[in-house]
Amino acid sequence: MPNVTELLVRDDSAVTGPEGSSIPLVEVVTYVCAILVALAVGATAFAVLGANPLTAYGTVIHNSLGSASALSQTLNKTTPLLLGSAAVALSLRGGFLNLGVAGQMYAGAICAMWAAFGLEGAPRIVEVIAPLVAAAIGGGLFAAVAAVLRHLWSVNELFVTVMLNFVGMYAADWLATRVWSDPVTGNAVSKPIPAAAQLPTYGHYGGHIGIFIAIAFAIAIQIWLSHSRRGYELNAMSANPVASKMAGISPLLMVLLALAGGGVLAGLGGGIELTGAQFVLFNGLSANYGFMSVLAAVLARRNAILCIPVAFVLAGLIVGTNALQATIQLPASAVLLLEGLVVLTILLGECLAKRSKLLARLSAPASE
Amino acid sequence: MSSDPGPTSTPATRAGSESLAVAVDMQGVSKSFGAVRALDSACFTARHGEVHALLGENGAGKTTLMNVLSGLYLADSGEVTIRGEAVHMTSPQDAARHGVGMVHQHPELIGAFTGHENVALARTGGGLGRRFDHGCQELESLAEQYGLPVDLRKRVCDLAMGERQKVEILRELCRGATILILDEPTTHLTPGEFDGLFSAIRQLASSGLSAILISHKLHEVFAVADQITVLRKGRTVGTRSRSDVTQDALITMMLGTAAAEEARAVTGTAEKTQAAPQPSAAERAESGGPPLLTVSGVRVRSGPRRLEVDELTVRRGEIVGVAGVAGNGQRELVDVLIGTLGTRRGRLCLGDRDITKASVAQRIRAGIAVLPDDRLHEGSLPSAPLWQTYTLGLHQTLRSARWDPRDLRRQTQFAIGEFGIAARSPNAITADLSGGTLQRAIVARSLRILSASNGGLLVAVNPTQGLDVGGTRFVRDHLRELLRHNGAVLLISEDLDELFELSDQITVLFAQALVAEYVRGDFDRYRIGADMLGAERD
Repeated sequence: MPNVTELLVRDDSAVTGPEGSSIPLVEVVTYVCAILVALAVGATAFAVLGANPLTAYGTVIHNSLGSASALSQTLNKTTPLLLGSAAVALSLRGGFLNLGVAGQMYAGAICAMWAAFGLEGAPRIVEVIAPLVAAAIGGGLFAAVAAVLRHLWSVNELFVTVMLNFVGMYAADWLATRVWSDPVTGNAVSKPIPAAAQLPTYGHYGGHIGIFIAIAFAIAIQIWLSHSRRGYELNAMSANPVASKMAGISPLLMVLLALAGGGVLAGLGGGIELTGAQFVLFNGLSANYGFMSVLAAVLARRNAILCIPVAFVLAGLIVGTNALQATIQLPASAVLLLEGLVVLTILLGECLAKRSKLLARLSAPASE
Repeated sequence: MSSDPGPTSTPATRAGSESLAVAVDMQGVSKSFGAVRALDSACFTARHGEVHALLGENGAGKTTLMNVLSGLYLADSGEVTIRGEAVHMTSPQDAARHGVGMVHQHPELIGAFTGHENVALARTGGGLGRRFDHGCQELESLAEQYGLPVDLRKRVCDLAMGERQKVEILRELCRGATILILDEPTTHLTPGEFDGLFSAIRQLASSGLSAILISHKLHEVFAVADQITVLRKGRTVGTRSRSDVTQDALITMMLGTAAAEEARAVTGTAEKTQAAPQPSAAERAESGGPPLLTVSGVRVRSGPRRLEVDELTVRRGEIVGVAGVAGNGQRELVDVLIGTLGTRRGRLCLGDRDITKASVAQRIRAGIAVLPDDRLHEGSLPSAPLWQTYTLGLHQTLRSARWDPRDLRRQTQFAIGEFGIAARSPNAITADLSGGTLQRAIVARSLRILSASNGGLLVAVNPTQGLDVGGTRFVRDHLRELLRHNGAVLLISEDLDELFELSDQITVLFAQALVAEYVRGDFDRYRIGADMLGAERD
C-alpha cells in the first residue's frame, strides 16, 4: 500500500515546487495529446453504442458551457470538486493520501445542517456563515481521526479514510431519514434547511457563490504551501520523513496539517454543497466527489491552483455527460465510462511520456 | 597501519606463483554507464592458488570489473578467459557454471533462514519438491575444513556480520566456485574478525582456489594478498607482487603522482599520530575546555531499541570518537542526542542547559547538528531542490526571520561558492548530486546551524565514508575548524584509522552500551578492537 502513496506523491515537486516554476512545454504537449486520445477513445465508445460521436460531444459541450444556466450548473459542480481536490492535494503535499473526501464532505454537510437548524432565526449573515464554519470544523475533526491514528500507531491513513467514508455516508443516511426526516416526501431525504441559511446566488440560473469561496481557498492554500515555513516543512516531510524528523519538524503537526487541514477543505465543500446546491441531506450527497477529487488532485500534480481548471473540466464532463442520457438516450453507465476513460488516458499518457526517450530528448533543448 | 604479514603467509610459499595455472584472464574490458566510462580497456589476470588484491580508489572500477567477471554486467567490449577457455557470460548463473562466485559488500542472505538453508537454497537447482533441509552435518564439517567455522543452524539474522560473510563464502564454495571474489569484505568487520577471515582466505588459496579481494585499504592488501593489481579511473595501472612493492609505490599507482602527494600528507599524519600523540592534540585534551555535552545515566528502552550511556562528556574544542561495529547502538546514540528517541532515565546537558526534555527543534537551536550516516536518506530531501535540502534543519534557527524562499536560495548560492559545492544552482535536484557534493552541502548546513549558537556540538557519523581524498580533507578540515570556533565533535565512526587520527578520546559502543574509554595516549588498535567485539578482558 505505501507504494501506491509513493506513486502518487512521487518526485514532481520540481515542477510544482514552491518557486512556482513554469511547467515545461513537453508536459503541456503530453497533456493535450492525452486528452485528444481520450476523446478519440470516447468517440469510438459512442460509435459502438450507436451514437454519432460529434453529436455526442456537441451535446456535452452545449450542456456544460453552452448557456448561462449550463455554466452555472458546471460551476456549482466545480465547487465541491475543487475543494475536495485541494484537500487531496494538500495531504499529498505532506506525503499522505486522503481517500476520505466523501466521508469528510458528509461530516461537513451534517455539521452544516445541524448549525443551520440550530441557528434558525439568527441574522442572515450568521445563518449563512455559521453552517459553513461548522462544516469546516466537522470535516477537519473527521479527518483528524485518521491523522491521530496515523501518528500514534502508524495506522495507514488510506484504510482509515476509506472506512470513514462509510461512517460518514451512513451517519448522513440515518440522520436524514430518522432525525431530520421530512414527513412530506416519501424519499430518504431530510427536510430542507431554512431558506435563510441558503447560500446567496448570482445571476438567475441557480449559480451560488460557493465557487468563489472555493477558488479563494485553493489559491490561498497553494500560496501558503509555496511561501511559508509550514508549507516548506510539509514538502520536506513528504520528500523525506526520516530527515525531516531529524531536522525537528513535528510529525504530529504535519500529519494534522495535511489530513485534518484537508478535512477542513473537504468539509467546507460538503457544507457548501448542502447550503448552496442540494439544501437537503441524503445518502448520495457527495455523489462521486470523493474519488473524482483524488483524480483531480493527481491530474493537477498536487498543485491546488491547477486544481481549479482540472476541477472545472471534470465538472463540465459530469454535467455534460449527464445530459447525454436525456438527449441521445445513452445509458447512464456510458457516461461514467467516458469519465473514467478520460482520466485513465491522461494518467496513462503522463506515465508513458515520463518513460519516453523521444520526449526526454525533445524537452532537453526546450527547457534550455 | 599494520603491515605485518598475515598469520599463515610467508613470501616463500608464494615465490613460485608464476608457475601457477591462470584462472582468470580479462583483456581490454570496457564498460560505460550512460556518459560515465567505468571501465576503459581494463586488464586483469589471476592465478589459482593465490590471493589477488584489486586495489583502487572509490569509483576506480574495481567492483564494476568484478561484476563483469561474475556475470552481473555485460561488458561493452573485451575478452574474458577462464582457465584458458574464452567465455561469454550473461548472468550470474553462467558465471557460477564457470566456477566464479562473488561475495558482495553487503551480505545477500535471507535473514529468516538458517545459514544451512541459505547455502542449500543456492545449491539446489530446480525441482519444487526437492528437499534441501538435510546434510547440515556434512556442511558444517566441510566448513571446519575450509577454516570457516560457523553455526549453520542459527538464523542468519542472529549471526554477526563476520559469520554471515562466512556463510556467504561457504555458499559460493558449495556452488562449486573455484574463483572467489570478495568485495570489500572487511567493511563490517572488526580487527579481530579480519584475522579470522584473512587466514580462511589464505587457507582456501593454498588449497588451489583463486581468491580475488577488492579493497581500497592498503594495510589489508598487504596483510593478505600475493599479487596486487591497481585500477585507476577504469584503467589497469599495473600488477605487482606483494613482496616487491612499497606502500608509497601503491599510493602513487592508485592516485597518480599529483594526488598521491596530497594523500600521503593525509595518511602520513595518521601514522604519525598513532606512533606518538600530536602535541597540540594532547595539549588540547589536557587543557580541556568547558564541557559542552554531558550525558549521564541515560537508559533507553523503546521496543527493540536500547541504549545505555552511564557517562559521556564532550568538551569544547575536543573530538570524542565513538568506535564500534555498526548496529551496536550508533543510531540510538544519534537519535537520543538529537531528540528523536526519548530517554527513560538520565540527563543530557548542552552547556549549562538541560536538554533531556527538549524537542528536536529546541536542540537544533541550542546548537546540535548531525552529519548523518546515510546522507541521502537521513540528511536530505532527495527529490527536492538543493536549497530545500540546505535549509532543512537550518530553518529552525531562522525562526525570527520572515520566510522568504528567494533569500534562502541566495544563501544556498553563497554556500555553494564558499564551500565549493559542485552544484549548478540552488535549484539543482538533490538526488542528482554526487555523494561527496551532498556531504559538502550537509557540512556547510551543519556549520551554519552551529554558528547560530556560537559553537555547538556536531554529531558526525562516518563523515568521510565513501569520499575521495579531496572530500575527506574537506570534511576533516571543517571538523577542526569547528573546534577552533568553540565547538566540539562527537565522531561516531567505523573507520578506526579515522578515529585514531582525529579523536582526543575514544569510547567504544558495544551491545547498545558505551563500554570503554581511552584517552589519546592509550589508543591501542587491538584492545579497542576487542572491546568492539565485546571480548572478555583479563
